[in-house]
Amino acid sequence: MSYLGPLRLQFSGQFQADPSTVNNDVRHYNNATFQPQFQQPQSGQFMNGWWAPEGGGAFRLVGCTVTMAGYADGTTSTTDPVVGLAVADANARVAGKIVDLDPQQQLTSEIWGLIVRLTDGNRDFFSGAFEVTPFSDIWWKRAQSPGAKGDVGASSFYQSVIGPVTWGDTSGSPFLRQLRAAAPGGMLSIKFNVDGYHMALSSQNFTLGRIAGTIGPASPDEPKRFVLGRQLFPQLASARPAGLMNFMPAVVDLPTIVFDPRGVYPMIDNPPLVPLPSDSVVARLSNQFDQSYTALLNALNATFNGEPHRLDAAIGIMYTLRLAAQALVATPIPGLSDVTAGPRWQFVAGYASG
Amino acid sequence: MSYLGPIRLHFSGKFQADVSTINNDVRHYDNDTFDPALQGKQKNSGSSAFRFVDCRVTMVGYADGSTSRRDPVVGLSIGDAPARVSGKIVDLDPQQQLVSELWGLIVRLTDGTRDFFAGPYTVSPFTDMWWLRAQQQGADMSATAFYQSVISVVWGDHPTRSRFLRELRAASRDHLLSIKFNVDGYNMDMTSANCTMGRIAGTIGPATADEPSRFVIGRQLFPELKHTQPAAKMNFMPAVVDPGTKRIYADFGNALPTATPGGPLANIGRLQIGWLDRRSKFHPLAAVSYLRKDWYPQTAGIQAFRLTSRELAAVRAKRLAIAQNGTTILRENDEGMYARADQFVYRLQPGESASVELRATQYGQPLANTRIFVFHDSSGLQPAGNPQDGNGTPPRFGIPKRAMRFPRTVRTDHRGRVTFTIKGTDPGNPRGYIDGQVYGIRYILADLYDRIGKRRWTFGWNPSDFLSVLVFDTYEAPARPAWTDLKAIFQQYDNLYPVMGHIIDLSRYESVVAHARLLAFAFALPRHDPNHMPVTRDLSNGKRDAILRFLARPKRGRGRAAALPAAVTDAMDTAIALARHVLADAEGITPASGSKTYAVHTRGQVEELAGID
Repeated sequence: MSYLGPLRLQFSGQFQADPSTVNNDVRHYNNATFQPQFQQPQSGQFMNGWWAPEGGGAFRLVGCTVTMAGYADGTTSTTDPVVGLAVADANARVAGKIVDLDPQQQLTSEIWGLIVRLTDGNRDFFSGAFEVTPFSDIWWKRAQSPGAKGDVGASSFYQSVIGPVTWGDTSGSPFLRQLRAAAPGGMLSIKFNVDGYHMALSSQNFTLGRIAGTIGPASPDEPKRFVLGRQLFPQLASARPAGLMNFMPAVVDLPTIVFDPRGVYPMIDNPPLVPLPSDSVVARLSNQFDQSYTALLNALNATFNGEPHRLDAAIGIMYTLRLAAQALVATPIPGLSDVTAGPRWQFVAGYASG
Repeated sequence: MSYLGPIRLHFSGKFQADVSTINNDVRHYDNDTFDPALQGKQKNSGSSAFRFVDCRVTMVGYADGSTSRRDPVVGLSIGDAPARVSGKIVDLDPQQQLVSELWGLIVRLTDGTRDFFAGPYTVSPFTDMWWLRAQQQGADMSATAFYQSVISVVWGDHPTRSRFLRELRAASRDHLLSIKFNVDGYNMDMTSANCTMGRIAGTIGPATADEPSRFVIGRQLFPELKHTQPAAKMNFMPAVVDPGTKRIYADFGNALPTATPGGPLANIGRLQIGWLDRRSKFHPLAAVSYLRKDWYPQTAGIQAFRLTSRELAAVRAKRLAIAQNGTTILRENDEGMYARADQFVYRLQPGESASVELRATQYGQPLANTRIFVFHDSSGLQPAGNPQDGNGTPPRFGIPKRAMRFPRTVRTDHRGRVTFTIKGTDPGNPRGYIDGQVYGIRYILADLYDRIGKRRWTFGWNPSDFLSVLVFDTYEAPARPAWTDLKAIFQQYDNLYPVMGHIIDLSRYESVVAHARLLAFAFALPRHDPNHMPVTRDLSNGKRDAILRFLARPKRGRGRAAALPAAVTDAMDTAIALARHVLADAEGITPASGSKTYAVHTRGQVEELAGID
């Protein structure tokens, strides 16, 4: 169970990554050779402090809104009340931070301290901390136009979990009700793709990029940062996709047996050992079950001992037995709390009447 | 020879009738207006099972007229099927719920290990329902009725020291037993441990193939009537004058009131059996012991009265009667005349005929060469839906009359018997969403008819004595029916019998196809099989054949599924007629929705609807 399944919301918008780039050149760590112009933006051939020496390290979600919801039954909706809400970051503390591991490993930039909220601007529907995670699967040549080189033309994704989230009033959205029910521990799976990053100081979108992502329920025993499923690989050339597509995951969602706790009765252990109040509904149902069971054994005994046509009668009793068992396990035992009766499977010696 | 004679056993205990009640309102048959929320209300998951519960033999009677509570059979169980599903209780139609038949019932006398006799109960309905047996308000709980039929018996070959069993077996040369039991005190309270249970007290004796299965050839005692129910405190009852043992065997089992539902008999004062002279003066013979402790469960309400030779001669051609505190409360009809059909519930395919045998008697002896009028009278049927409750008008029953054919006058032969034919033809779907039409056909001795009319139908007839006939519509289906042709039929069963939802979703093609072999098995079983589907036995042969063809080679079909025919109601006519009767019948009964009382509560009255047409 993850973002990549039937139950999910999709969002899109922009992100801001405002890193400081002075430290992108490992040699700048050498105090002995550090030059003051290393704190200046790059200029022509002079890299200086690269393209954003003044960056504060912030990572923000900018203008992200929900575009579509998927339901547990595999259907999708663009009219669920959740569609149009904002996926936003912290509103009461500083923004999250985007952080390289090391100047010599800049391709696992992690996001630290990010909050993810679903909000209509006044009320949050859920809100929770994004667990620190790096991007991965960077693909340098996503954008195919000649001018798109380097970070500008690149794409990668972040996958992690949010939570445990604080839920708001989710009653108004079928999607949110399903999501909340599917994430009883409050853990959500989130994955977003980042591309189209603007690195030109002169651009009004400087430090902004495109984001498109998905949020779904998370399972505690599944990995947080990748999908357990099918991984699709491209042919590689020089450690990069040789063709026009990058790595991607998929999930085959086999039919599942839906667990509905309301359909599970708290059947008492060892029903034959439980005394039932005489003249009670439960005693009558138990007796009837045992009598039907006995009748079934009688019919089968006859069937396998020379009267094969009696199988028809036996089949009829099997259904009676099923109905009797269903009635029994739905019936509480007077005097005991939170338990229901169960079949005793007792042959009624000298079975007389129903 | 029947249960009402010297050789007999009495038993008592409980019964369970696990009925489904959604189909008690005929309007619920309309798929277009059916509210699925109904399936959550009332006690709707009934399986239709009918069971004997804790029934034991209480007393036996011997051929010489003596009785015993020490015969070895006393204390044995009267049980039902030990190796197949229980019997089923089935209404003829939502608009005739007062002849509910038992299908597929087995009756056994057993000590728990060995059966002394066992056999199938010949399908038979209850009759003589008396709504106010228990003298307090209620729904079904205050009512009583009786079942009478025969058992095709197989004897257990166990050595027995029971004189009773030896005598019973010797007397049952046709391998038939006569059984009659009274049912009352039915509990409809879902919060009760006894919900769906009631009291049973009955009698089993020898039967012969030549006698009627469902009534006693003997003396029939009638009450005065008010609104087709007993006006005073006793119901209809039979008696037999047996010269052999010089006794009158009288069956009060369904005739005496109780204080509370299923409780002890009410004290209605001094009761005597006797006879009436020509001027209707009551001549007492003996007192009825009904107030003795446990008299009813021990005797099932049967008392034998020993007669002197002189008394025996006196009653031979005189009307028997019961007097309460000296005043006659029940009596035989004028001149001791009586006529009765043995089988009075019929299901006819369009074009199908059935034979009806009537027997006429006078003072218990065959009444030869007498005329009997036969006429349409649907006043004993029920709308099964109050037209004033805002849920629509129930369809009309009993029309068109031309679809139900029978002779208007018949005449008995030298044995007092006459057999005539009723023929159902396609009624033409007069009720829309519910198949076929239900008819009432009454028969009354011609010699009595005018006298009954002069009494404004307050004496001399039994409202329960009429033929109830369901005639199915003709059903046209393609040679290879598809789901789209049949879905509406399945949907109707899915709506009305939620118990099936635990096994199969009859409203979905996928579910039906997944169970196709099982369904084909159940639909093809003969109607008398307890596993027959539908349990309600209300599927016409035409529809059954189409369903079996579909199940053999399921296909979904194209386009929208065909709908049931729309409701056909003669709104004004029905509403006015029914509303009048709702008011007239509203005395003393607060019907619980879904009960028999509710069905009859909306019923018409004979004074206005009966008559020779």
